[in-house]
Formats: sequence, structure tokens, C-alpha cells
Amino acid sequence: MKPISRLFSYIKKYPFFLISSLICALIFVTSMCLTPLLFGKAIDEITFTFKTSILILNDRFYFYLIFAGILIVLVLIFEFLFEYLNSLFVEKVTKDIKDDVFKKLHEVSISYIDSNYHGDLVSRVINDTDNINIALVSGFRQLYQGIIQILVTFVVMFVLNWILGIVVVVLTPFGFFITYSLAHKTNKYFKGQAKIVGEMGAIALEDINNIDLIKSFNYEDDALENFKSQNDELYKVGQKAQFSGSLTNPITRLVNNSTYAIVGMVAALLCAFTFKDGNILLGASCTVGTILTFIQFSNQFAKPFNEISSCVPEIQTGLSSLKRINDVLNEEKDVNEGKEKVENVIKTIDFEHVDFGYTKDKLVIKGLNLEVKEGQKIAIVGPTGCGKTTIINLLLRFYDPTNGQIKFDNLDTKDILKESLRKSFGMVLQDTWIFSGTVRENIIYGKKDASEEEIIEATKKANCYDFIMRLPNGFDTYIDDYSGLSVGQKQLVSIARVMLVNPKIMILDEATSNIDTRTEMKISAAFNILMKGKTAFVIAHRLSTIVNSDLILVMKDGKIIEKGKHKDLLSKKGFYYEFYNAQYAKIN
Amino acid sequence: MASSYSYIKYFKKEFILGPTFKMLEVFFELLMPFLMSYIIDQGIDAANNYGDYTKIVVPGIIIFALAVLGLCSTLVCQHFASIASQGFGTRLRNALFKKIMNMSLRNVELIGKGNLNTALSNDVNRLQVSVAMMIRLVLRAPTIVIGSLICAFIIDWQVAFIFLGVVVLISIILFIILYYSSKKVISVQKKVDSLVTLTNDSLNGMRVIKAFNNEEVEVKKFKNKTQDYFNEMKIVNFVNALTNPLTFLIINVAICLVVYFSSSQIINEHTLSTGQLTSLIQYLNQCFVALIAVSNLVIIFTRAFASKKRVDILLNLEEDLKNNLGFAPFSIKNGENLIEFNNVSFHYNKGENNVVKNLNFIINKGEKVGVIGGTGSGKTTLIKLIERFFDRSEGDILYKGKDIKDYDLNALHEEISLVNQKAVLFKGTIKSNLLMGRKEASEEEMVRALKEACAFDFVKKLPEFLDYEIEEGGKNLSGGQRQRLSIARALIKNSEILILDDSTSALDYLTEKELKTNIFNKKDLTTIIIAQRVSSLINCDKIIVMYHGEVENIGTHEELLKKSKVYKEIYDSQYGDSYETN
Repeated sequence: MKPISRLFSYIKKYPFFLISSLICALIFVTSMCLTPLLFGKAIDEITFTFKTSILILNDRFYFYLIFAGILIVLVLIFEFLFEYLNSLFVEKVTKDIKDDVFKKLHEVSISYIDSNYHGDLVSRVINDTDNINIALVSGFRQLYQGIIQILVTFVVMFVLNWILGIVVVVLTPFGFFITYSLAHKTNKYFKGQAKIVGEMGAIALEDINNIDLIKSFNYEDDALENFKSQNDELYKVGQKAQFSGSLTNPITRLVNNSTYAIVGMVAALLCAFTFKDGNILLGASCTVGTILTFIQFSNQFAKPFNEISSCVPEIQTGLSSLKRINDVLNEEKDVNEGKEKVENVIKTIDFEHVDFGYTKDKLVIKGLNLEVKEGQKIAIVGPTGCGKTTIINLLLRFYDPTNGQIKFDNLDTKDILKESLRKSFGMVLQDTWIFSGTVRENIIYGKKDASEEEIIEATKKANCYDFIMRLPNGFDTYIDDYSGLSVGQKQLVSIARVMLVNPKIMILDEATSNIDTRTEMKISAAFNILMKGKTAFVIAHRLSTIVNSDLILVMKDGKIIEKGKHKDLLSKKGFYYEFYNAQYAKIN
Repeated sequence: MASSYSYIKYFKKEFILGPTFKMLEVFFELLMPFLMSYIIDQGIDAANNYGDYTKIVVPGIIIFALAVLGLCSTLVCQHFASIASQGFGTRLRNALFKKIMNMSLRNVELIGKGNLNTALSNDVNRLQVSVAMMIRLVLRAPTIVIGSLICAFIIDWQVAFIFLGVVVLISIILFIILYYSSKKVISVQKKVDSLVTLTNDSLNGMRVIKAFNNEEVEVKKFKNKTQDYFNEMKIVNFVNALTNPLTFLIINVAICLVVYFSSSQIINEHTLSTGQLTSLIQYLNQCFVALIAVSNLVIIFTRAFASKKRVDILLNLEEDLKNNLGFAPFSIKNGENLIEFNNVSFHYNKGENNVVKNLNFIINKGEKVGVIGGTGSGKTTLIKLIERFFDRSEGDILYKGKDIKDYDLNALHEEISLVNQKAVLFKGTIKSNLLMGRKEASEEEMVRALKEACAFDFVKKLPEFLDYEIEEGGKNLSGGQRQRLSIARALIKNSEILILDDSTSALDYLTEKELKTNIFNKKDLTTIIIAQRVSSLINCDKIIVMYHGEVENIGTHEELLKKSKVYKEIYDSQYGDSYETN
């Protein structure tokens, strides 16, 4: 879908708001435009009374003022309604977009999430929708209020005095054109400024985040010099950008004031002629009241034009944000073509001639054959970054094999409903995931209706009951990924999470470092309980833990280079042998 | 006390001339309605009765000339404003960055790196904008309001009281609305923050979410939060939607009143003319525009003052680490006493718990020393004390027999090469990163260091070799490659001490072994290795075992197996039984 039709699909959901705010705009803008006319008429009454020396004001004078009063109240009510309805409508649209983008992120394939910066995706959900919000608010204001204001003023002006009307209509757009061409010419300064600001931000971020290294290399002065030279660049462009940015208002004022002068002169001349011979210029007769009215009309007529200049950049930003959001929304949903459900214990898992690559030209798994029976423990070992998690990605169908099949009980996993397939697995990853919420919410994540007893039992088995009880509010303590729990404690909580669901197959990823020995032992013990009597895949970093596995897959540079039992692999004297000995260094 | 705004003092000329020219423009603008009323009262009459059009055309041309003059003087003002504000921002940014670079690590950690970054970018920018506004707008709006008031009093003092009432009323309304929305901004921001947190959480945990089939739960959570946000914004928008209609109401009711009251003065008392009446109405409209501008200014300045507070705190931060500019370290022989800790303790703030306490150990020149212990056992603090990133709270630290505080800080840092846990490379090339170690290093030396760090093999394969561009944070290299390059960078420094802070974790065991052999062969190089794994430390001359901020034991691997409970426990956990207890 194209960005604009995407936006339209959201907007058309709220016809009530579209129509009612249009009606409000019509009422308030018309009333607003007519008020100066009434003031002018009232002044004419004063002049008339003054000239004729009756000295008593006609009832029409009071009528005009009261009518003006009514219009003012109408403006109050309907401008308020217009602004309020407009903002509500836009908030509704942006809420819908926000919700849909977030939902989409949960429907696309994992590879999309993996291959995009999370910060960028968050920014699409939050900042880009905000930009659209701002653009829509000012866009709709401009569209409704601006256009109606121009039209109504235009009509009233020409009905009232066509010569003055022409003067205003000809002069007003000047300001718009001047500022527009100015913005066009000075755009390079703004672009240059944005670029340097971005670069400087990156440099400062890098320096501040690694200040200990900078100090240890005595690099403070060099860092400062570097920063200063960037900053000087910024000054040069920034000063020009600032100056050219600050030109819009004064130029607009010049055009407005010039219009003011010319309208005043022409109107006064017309007045003089009118006094001389009643009706010289077909319907272009003029009074003092007309002068006042036109002075205000020229402002009213110019206002929407002037505001376009401030509204254009907002709409531009909004459009590019819309495009970024549309890109996410146009992303294909993750295929879920399978229909079958797996209910029973899975007896066999087979990898048959599986090829896989994250990119098409680079296979990381080639022709993998593997047969896993119920209850077996499969260990995957190898240096860090060798692609051990690839196996998990394939098993849980976060990614699909490029060639070959993975079969559960002789059923191709592609034919199995993803939800059903994933239900069979329990997974504890090295990068534990704790979301912002209470400890309890984190634990019952897989089983919302878990009873208190079940929760306590699971946490006890996962060795985390004791420390949870020591937290300020026990299970109801608020935690997030950055604070509240240590790395090891987070791992224990995520074990408890899986413990509560108790699935049929386990995938366990050992934590590498940063965990103290005691916690590590607790985690091992919890892992053992989790795995008991179940098929399990263990990603191991320490070889001592996998000696008893039924099958060891040795991975290097993303490929499975050896597989077999511990003893067989040792006697092979291949990579595993070397790897094992290196880890045990002097000890064996 | 240093204030962020004190950098304005470099722009006195701009600060005097800018607003002066701006006031000139305002003065011109205030003259215009006077001229217009002259046209209406005298000009039309003259043209009508005597056929004299000059009284219409001349004032008209004068108004036009005033408009052009007004533009010129504003341009002068805008020019000064852009110089002063951008210049102010540049100076403040430099000063703040310098301050941050020279901050002690203790302060950096207490304040938080994120906060430092925000201060440097957002806060300085807001202050910069506020300086521009001081010159450009701060005087303009009040001058127009006061000027219009004065003009109104000159024209007719009785009617002028309506003006006064209007200004007061609108100011009150604007104040209430601004006050209310500035309060609301905080609670709205909180809602936005919670949306950000949830999105972040969700993206980071996508695998777990999918594994639990919980996508819909997350979406529902999110929808609830956006609904919360929507409800909050409903109130904010309600109040904001009132601003324009209310000010319109007040101004136009005032115009009604002015027309009404003037009528009798024009007709009966002849104290006022219609031309003057029109100029009164124009002044009211000018006030209207100016007051709306004030409300925008208030928002800008409330933000700027919050930023000023944060930046001022940073600029005035008392440096707790004094560089005594003492002597540079001299060279000593192998085996001589290099570092000595006597009863050293450290805490961040007085009264807080010690992070490390009663540290006692000696490291001799050329020794390979291992440090092991759990998270939070104080290993990294120990390193920071050796680097003198912190000053100890109690005890003595001797370097080459003299108090570490007596050395020049930079000279001390020259003595030590640090390789961090998260191998950090800077944006630039491989070469520029290596040269951080020593500026004058030759290509030959670089290659040697790369070889020693086991990095040469992969660097050799890169088409640009040493000129290979490294992206921000070294994103285009693998973790292991980054670690090896940062070790090479440290080796090139040719320093007395090399500290490896858990910096081989991403290397496979074979590479780690080779690298360690290379380093251990450098007999003069004192090396301190911090590690989680016993296997990384087995060959060390001595291993310091840290436990809860204290030194639990010191000795070789074999000695420690016998005498250290903590070391034995760590060893067992890594080499003991597997998970399979059966």
C-alpha cells in the first residue's frame, strides 16, 4: 500500500470527526471573518451620525455591536470545538497507527527484528507516529481553517469592495513566495547542520561511554581537539542556518506592513472619491469603516499563507515518518501455513539434509542430518559466535531451512501450526529477558492462570524463591531489565518462568560469564530439574557440563564440523579434542 | 559559581545592539497606526475638500518606508542573534565537553553517562535557542504590549483602561493554561516513556514472546498503554484548545467596548476621531499577536531554565581527583616492587559501604598476576585504583615505592595499558585506533603488535589492511576481532603494565592460549589478568582471589587449590561434575 492511501485508510475510519470538524470550521471561520465587517459598519454609523449632526446613534449601531458580540461567542464555541475535535481525531488516528505498527512487529519474521536496529524500530513506533500527529494537526488546521478563511475573506472582500480586494489578493502571496524561495536556497545549511549534529552526537556518545579508555590512553586532549574542530564546523553552518531560519517572520511582516500601507492609501483615496461623487467606481465606494475592515481582512487573508511556511516542514517530516511507518506495515507477515497440531510427546526430531543461511549467498549449515529421540540430551559446543543459536532458530521456526526438512514425528515442521510447535518447547536463553513489571508478572508470563502454589513450587525448584522473598515486596517487587536483579538472578527467574509451563522439549543456553560461582551452581541444579526425562538441547560453554550428552554437535564458523559422543570425539583427535584440551589447559 | 549563561559575556556587543535594533522595528510598527489615523482624519478630508492627495500618499509612503526600515533593522538584529547564540552554544559545548573529559570516573559513574550525553546535546541546544530568543523576542513582545498601552493612553486615557484590563486578563489566562500544561507535560512524558520501555522490552524479548505464543498479550498490553496516553492527551488537548478562542473572545469584546465608549466621545465630546478609533483597534490586535508570542516564549524559557540547572551542576562539579603534577615514574628492574597496596579501602560517598576494603598485596615488575572472583567482588574497582581513576578512601597505594598520588596523572596513565571487558574501538580506521596507543608508532610496530595480539591474520585479509574503516562502536567487526584489536592497541603503547580486564572472553580457547603465550613471553611486561575462568589464569605467577570486596587469598594455582575455599569452589564449579548428576 502507498503511504498516502495507508494514511487515508486510517482517516476514513472517523467520518464523524471529519465532518463535524469541517462544520465547526465553517461556522467559526465565517463568524471570525465577519466580525471586522461589523466593526467597520459600526464605525460608519458613528461617522454618519457625527457628520449629520443628529448626535444620536442609530439603532443599527447597537445592532452591529450586538451582532458582533454574537459572532464572537460563536467563534469561542466553535473554534474550541474545532480545535478539540481535530486533536481528538488526530490522537485517535495516531493511536491506531501506533497499535498497528506494534502489532505488526509481533507478526513479522524474527529475521526482520534481527536485521533492524531496535532503537530504530522503537523510534518508528514512538517518534514517527508523533511526527505524523504533529503533521496531521497542522495539516488539518491548514486544510480546513486556512482554506475556508481564504475563501470566505476572498468573497466578502470582493462583495464589499472589489478594488481593495484585488489589491489584497495580489500583494499577499508575495510573502509566501519570498519565504518559499528563501527556504529553498538556505536548505543546504539546514542539511549541513543536521549532518554535523548527528556526527558530533555520535562522537560525544562514543567518547563519554568509553571515558575510562580515553583516560587510560591520555586521550582527553585529542578527544577535545576533535570535538572542538567538529564544533567549529557546526558554528559555521549553524550560524548561517539560524540566520536564514530567522528571516521568515521579518519578511512576512514586511509584506504585511506594505500591504497595510497600500491598502490604507488606496482605501483612503477611494473614500475621497466616494465623498466627491457618490458612486464613481462601480460598487467600489469606500468609507472609514471599510478601511478598518480591510486592514483586518488583509491580515486574515495573509495568515493562512504565512502559516504554510511553518506548516510545510512539519508536513514534510510527517510524510517521511509516514513512509517509514508504511514500510513496517507493508512488511510481510511471518508465514504460518501449517495446520497440524502436535499434542503428544514428540518421539523423534529429524533434521534431513538441512541447509541454512541467514543470507542467500552464505550457508552456515550445510547438509545437516540429525536424529534425536525422546529423552536424549543434545549438546552444541564451539567458540563464541560460531552460530550455535542457529539450531534454536531452526527448531522453533524463527527461521526456516533454505533446503531440506525438519520433522517432528515424521511431520514436516512447515505443516505444523507455529503456536502449537512452540508450545512444545521451553527455552532459557543466555540473554535473559526480564520485562518491566513485577517479579510475578515475569514468572507467570507463559501461564497467566498459574495458582500461587504453582508459582511457589516453580520458584523453589528454580532456586529463586529465597531471594525473591528477600526483595522489598516479594513477588510484587517491580523489576526491569536494567535494575533490581543481578544477571544470575534474572536467569533464575527466567528458568522459573519455563518451569511453570513445563513443556516437552527444552532448549537451554548457558550463561557465559558475569555470574558468580554460587549462582552458577544454582542455575546448573535448576537446569537439571528442567531437563529431567525430557528431550533437551543444551548450548554449552563449558565442556565439563556436556560429557554425558547423548550427542555433541561441534560448531565452528557457523558450521557443524563434528558430531558424536564425547569419547568418540576425543578419540577422533579433531577440533573437539583440541578444543577440549585447550580449555583444560594444564589440568588434564 | 560558573553559570551556563555566563558565556553570554563574550557577546556583549551582540546583546546590546541586537535588541536595540529590534526595538527600533517595534517603534516603527507602533508609528504605523498613528500615520493611518492621520490618513483617515486629515488625508481623506484634504483630498475631499481641497483635492490635495499628498496627505494620503505621503503618510502611506512613510508607512511603507517604515516597513522597509523595520525589516532592515530586524535583519541586523537577527544577524547578531545568530552570531551570539551559535557562538554561545559553541563555547558552552566545548566547555562542557572539556569538563566531562576531565571528570573523575567516580563522578562520571555517579552522574551517569546517559545524563552527560543528554546535557551535552539537548540541554546545550535548548540554552542556545533561549539565547537567540533573548535577543530576538524577549524585548519585542512586552515592548509592543507596553507601547500599545502607552499609545492608547496618549490617544484617550479613558479608553486606554480597557486596554489595561485586556492585557491583565489575557496574561492571567495564558499563565493558568501554561502552568497547567507544563505540569501535564511531565505526566504525559511518563506515559510516553512507558510506551518506549514496553516496545524495547518486546523487541528484545521477541524470541521468548514467540516461544510462549504471547504476541497477543503484548499487543493488548500496548493497546492499554496507548489508551492511557490517549486519555491523558484528551485533557491536555481540551485545555490547549481553549487558548485561542479565549484570547480571541477577550480582544474582540474589548474592541466592542472601545467602539461603544468611543462613540459618545467622537459624537458628543469631540475628544476622539474615527481615525484614532481605528488605530486603537489596531493596537488591540497588535497586543493580541504579541501576547500569543509570549506564551511560546514562556515554554522555551521554562525548558531552558531546567537545562541551565542541569548544565550548571556539571560545570560547577568540584573535581575530587587532583593531579598533583608531580614527577614522572622512573624505570625499575625486573622483580622489584612495582605496586603495593596497604590496607586500601574505597567507597563512593562518605558513610556508604566500602566497595573494596583492606586490600593488601604486592605486584613485582615482570610478574603475571591473575585476579579472580565473582561479580561485585571488587575486581574492577581494584583496577581503577591502580589506574588512579579513583582515589582510595583509606590506606596507601605505592607505585614504584612512592605514593601514587605524587605522580603526574598523565605520566601514570602512560605507564599502564588497559584492555576493557567490552573491547571498545573508536570510529576511524584500524590504524587510527592503534595509534591511540602511541601516536608515533611505525607501521612495523603496528604489525608486530597485531601479530602478538593474534589479530594479524584477519587484518591481513582486509582489502584496505590498516586503513580499514571501523564503524561506530566497531560494529563491522566480530566480538573476537574487536578484542584482539584492542589488545594490539594496548600492546603498542609499550607500557610498564598491561591490564586485561576479562578481555579474552570472545576468543576461542586456542586463540586465547596463543595470545597468552605471546604476552607471557614479554618478560619485562607486568601483566594483570582479570578473568572469570580458572583456565585463563592457571599459568600466572600469582593469583589474587577477591571475595566480597576483600582479598581472600593470594598464591599460585596449586597453592590456592589447597588453601583457598573460594578458589576451590570456583574451580569445582568449572571443572567439577556436569549437570548430569545421575
